[in-house]
Amino acid sequence: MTGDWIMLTVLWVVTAALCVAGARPVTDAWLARWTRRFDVVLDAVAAQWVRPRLRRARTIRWCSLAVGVNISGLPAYANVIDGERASSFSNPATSSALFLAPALGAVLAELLVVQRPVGGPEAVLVRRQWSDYIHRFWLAVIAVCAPVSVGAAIATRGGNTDAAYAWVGPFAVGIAVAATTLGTRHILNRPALAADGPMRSADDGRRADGIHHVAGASVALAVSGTCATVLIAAQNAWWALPFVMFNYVAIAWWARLSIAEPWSVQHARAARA
Amino acid sequence: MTVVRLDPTSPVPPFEQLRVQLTDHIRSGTVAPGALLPTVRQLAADLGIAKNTVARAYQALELDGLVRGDRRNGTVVMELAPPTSRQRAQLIAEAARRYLAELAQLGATQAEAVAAVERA
Repeated sequence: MTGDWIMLTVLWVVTAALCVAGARPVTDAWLARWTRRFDVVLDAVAAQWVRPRLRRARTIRWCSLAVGVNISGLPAYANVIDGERASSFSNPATSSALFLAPALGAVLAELLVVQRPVGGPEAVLVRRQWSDYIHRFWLAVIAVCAPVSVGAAIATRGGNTDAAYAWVGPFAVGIAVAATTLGTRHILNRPALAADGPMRSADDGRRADGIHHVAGASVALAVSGTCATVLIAAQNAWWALPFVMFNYVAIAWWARLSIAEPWSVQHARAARA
Repeated sequence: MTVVRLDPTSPVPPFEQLRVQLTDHIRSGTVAPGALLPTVRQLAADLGIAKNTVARAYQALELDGLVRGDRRNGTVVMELAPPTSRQRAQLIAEAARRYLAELAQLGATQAEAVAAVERA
């Protein structure tokens, strides 16, 4: 019994730490790293505009991760309530929540952004496209997961004890595709803040930041879901070992897209022109 | 960077302001042939006007042969054939009407309008 409560306590501590970490203020050093990462030029007004919005988006995303941690930690809750039934909560469906909740949270963080142009009604005659804000490689990863996960789910034999969870992977990929599509579309169609200057730069940086977070969580969700389905279909076959490693690759890609991947909207537009 | 600006205080409707500015940019070459114009949603959101207003402006440009629109690729600026003498006369007359309408708002007389053209 004590061990079960320790597990729950760890879960709650992690949840609280995630929420507190997400809600901490955006420091000057953090903002400086963010401007370097997205090649953004800010003045005092633009910095004042972007700082609270970055903080709010980060809070929503980290709290979503906390929700995912708790859902995937359902076995720990079940252990306290009824230890004999706890194992039924430990399955690919609950463990996929660790990635599902952050993907939906990243989209929610963008849907809640409301912005209006700071000047009069003016618009630049340049079309905003998703390739201005993220490399096509990441969207291709999500797209590739669709046929792989569906193929693995179809290939899962009926006698397989985990066959009931075979379609968790395709479901996760479907959510990842929907999240990326909805999030990207919303970000692209958001009104532009300004036609030029630091406000436009801040706006472009904020869009690129949002799309990278949505894509990062969606890549992790799609890849981990696909790996789960492939492992179920493979039934511990040796050739499925790489798919165990891909789970860690998915987490690394998520971290890279969310925190580290540099991107310049200016350069992307210039390359397109 | 090519920008369109709407004047909310102008008696000219937003559709007409938008159509005229887009036409000017395309004919002058500041928006090059083959360039993709913003989507209807994006332009409407940026300008703070209804999507239908932008859609009407794009349709008018398409009827004038200045753009080609399809659902897959969006609205693309067309390569312009040189205007015929009749089209040229129409464009000159349109430009003159816009100029005189602006001067009328300022209360200028016809003599002042002609003198300003001769000085330019």
